[in-house]
Amino acid sequence: MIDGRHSQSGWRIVLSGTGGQGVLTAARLLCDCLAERGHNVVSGQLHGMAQRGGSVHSSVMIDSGISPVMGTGRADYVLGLEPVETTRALPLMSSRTVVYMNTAPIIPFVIGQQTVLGDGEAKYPAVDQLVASIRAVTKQVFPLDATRLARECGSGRAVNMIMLGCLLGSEALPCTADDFWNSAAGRIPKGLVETNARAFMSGAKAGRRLRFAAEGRV
Amino acid sequence: MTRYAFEFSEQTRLPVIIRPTTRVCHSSGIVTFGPLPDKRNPIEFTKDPARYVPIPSNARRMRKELTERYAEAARLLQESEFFPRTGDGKKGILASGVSYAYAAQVIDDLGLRDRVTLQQIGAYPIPDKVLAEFLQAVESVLVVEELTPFVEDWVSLAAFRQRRQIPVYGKHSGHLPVEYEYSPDLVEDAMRDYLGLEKRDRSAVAVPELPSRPPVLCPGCPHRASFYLARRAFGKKTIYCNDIGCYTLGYGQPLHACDVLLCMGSSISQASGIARLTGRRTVAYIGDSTFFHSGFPALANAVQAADNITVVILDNYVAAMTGFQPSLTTHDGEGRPAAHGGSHAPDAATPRFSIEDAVRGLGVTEVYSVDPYDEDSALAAFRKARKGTGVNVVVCHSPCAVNERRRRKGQRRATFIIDRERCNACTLCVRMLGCPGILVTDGEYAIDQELCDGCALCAYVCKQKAIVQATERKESV
Ligand code: SF4
Ligand code: SF4
Repeated sequence: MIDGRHSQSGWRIVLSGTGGQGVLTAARLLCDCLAERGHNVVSGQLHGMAQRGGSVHSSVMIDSGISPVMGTGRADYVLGLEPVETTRALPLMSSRTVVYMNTAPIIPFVIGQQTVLGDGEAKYPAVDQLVASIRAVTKQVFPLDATRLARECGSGRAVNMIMLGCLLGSEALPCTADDFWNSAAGRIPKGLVETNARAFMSGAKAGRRLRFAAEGRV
Repeated sequence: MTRYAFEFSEQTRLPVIIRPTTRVCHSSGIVTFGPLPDKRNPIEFTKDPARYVPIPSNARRMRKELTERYAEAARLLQESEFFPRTGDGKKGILASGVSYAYAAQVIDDLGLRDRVTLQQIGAYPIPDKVLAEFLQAVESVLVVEELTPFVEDWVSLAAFRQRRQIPVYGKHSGHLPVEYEYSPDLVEDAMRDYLGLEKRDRSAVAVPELPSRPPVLCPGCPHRASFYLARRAFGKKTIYCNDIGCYTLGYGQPLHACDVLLCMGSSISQASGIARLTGRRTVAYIGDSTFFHSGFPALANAVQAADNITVVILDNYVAAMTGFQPSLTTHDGEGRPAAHGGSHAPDAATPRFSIEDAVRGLGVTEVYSVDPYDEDSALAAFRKARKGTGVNVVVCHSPCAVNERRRRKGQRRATFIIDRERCNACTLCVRMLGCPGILVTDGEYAIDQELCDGCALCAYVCKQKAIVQATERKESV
């Protein structure tokens, strides 16, 4: 098992990404599934606007009190849908935290704009360096190209499902991948169910593989 | 709480304000539904002018009743569930709002239950009895609340009245800041200080410098076209007064469409004032909903005063910023206005609201009706408006891009692409528009096919004719 929990009483999860990646949808599906199963769930939008291209971070707190926001170093699991946004959640991580991280960047358009307008020299950092800065805090970082996996499943937009699959496939939560999908399928618009199902299963497979690897039975 | 508020309001005949602050509005938790009360529809109105007309003779009596009802409210709240107290330590913590959740979390995380007594303040007026019992139970108090030290001053006063000498810490003592939203970290630090615990070292985590993702107008947003064209007509020196809505994002680079902003409807009156004082034609930007909410009085006033202003009404048929609530110009695509909660649904006979007729009714004679995506005509209208005298109005009609996408249920227009051969990297599209769909990587210009909404504005701007419509929508795979 890949365990990131800081306390035995609950699960604290951060989902981070950019607007349009479906961070809030993923958080919502997770909450609904766990609430249905009798868990106490509180969720918060940590920062950003849900509009396209902005940073979107969300917390899902399962059986761990009433606060929708967690303090420094209290995240058990981080689902990073985008490398810079995963790194932005660094203050919430500790050496125990488990991080599943998509390595495919979404370059903020302002980088180009700032260069053109000559104000600031923002650069998109090398993904390797971002992974390294997270690894400096926790050894349990699992980078994967979720965007590629999502495209293979039919839509680059299903990154959120790949990442959810990863988390649930690694058996991190008090509900199995099958439980989750049974609960989520009915909440996803009909036209998208098939692609999302493929993406979720593919993520779950990746999650299982990572778990086996971590347990030393490859 | 909302349900209680309704019952409480009926009982006390007082208005109740539910006041969720920032974080509460961005959080969700489990809500258990109770039974819905019977719909009492239609409700009888029983005439009772002495109760409903606050002329002086009635108001004197009402004022006295108010004091009594207020006392009744405090008595009722005392029995409510909004003032829970937990723990039995001598160190007291008073918390209100979302800070209560943070304090409770810190107490759990650090195992402080036997050292502190946590008292929640969940409603106002704070019942005397609640504070009296709390002050009896503790030897000092830390007050955790965001912004104005309201509870802090209140509890100090309560202690004074009870002749209790008790230290009250919070903002006045410097434990907590007056400004900004709180966080669990901030509350934890204040509590550690208060309880004499060791400071928490957070220096171990080094976050590298990361590029930001500031909020911008969406790809395909018609406001971008309106701002760009108006600025081309009115120039850099004109003062642009903006208003409250998505269009406030015209602030700063690269649209520069917001030099002054105050509150709902302020754009028109500020433009009037500035035009009078500077003697220069001034532009006011205001969205459809904000105009309906609070634009009329200032516009009527400006007409009477013959102020030299151009009011640009950005009509996107919806209150987009707050979540796509209908505005007076919302329609269903077939000419029928949207429902506004009246007693019957709109039908073919329901009149469509006309902004043009409304402003003419206020006395504006020079009114231009444009589609900002018919760029040449819109630009011509702005240029005429710049040369006008007194008040003129340009109404820009074009639907909110995001709302259109929602209505079209995912069906999207063909995107635009940049022809590398023709693009000479002149920077114009990025410098003028700031559409997040246009990316520049190492000097190469390209359009993100996922983000592009196919509005064609950048193609209009590009002098090299380098931006062309993709033959069909390319789904980024
Ligand atoms: S056509 Fe151009 S301006 Fe319009 S959304 Fe696409 S990239 Fe942006
Ligand atoms: S305006 Fe046209 S030529 Fe200039 S950078 Fe943009 S695409 Fe290239």
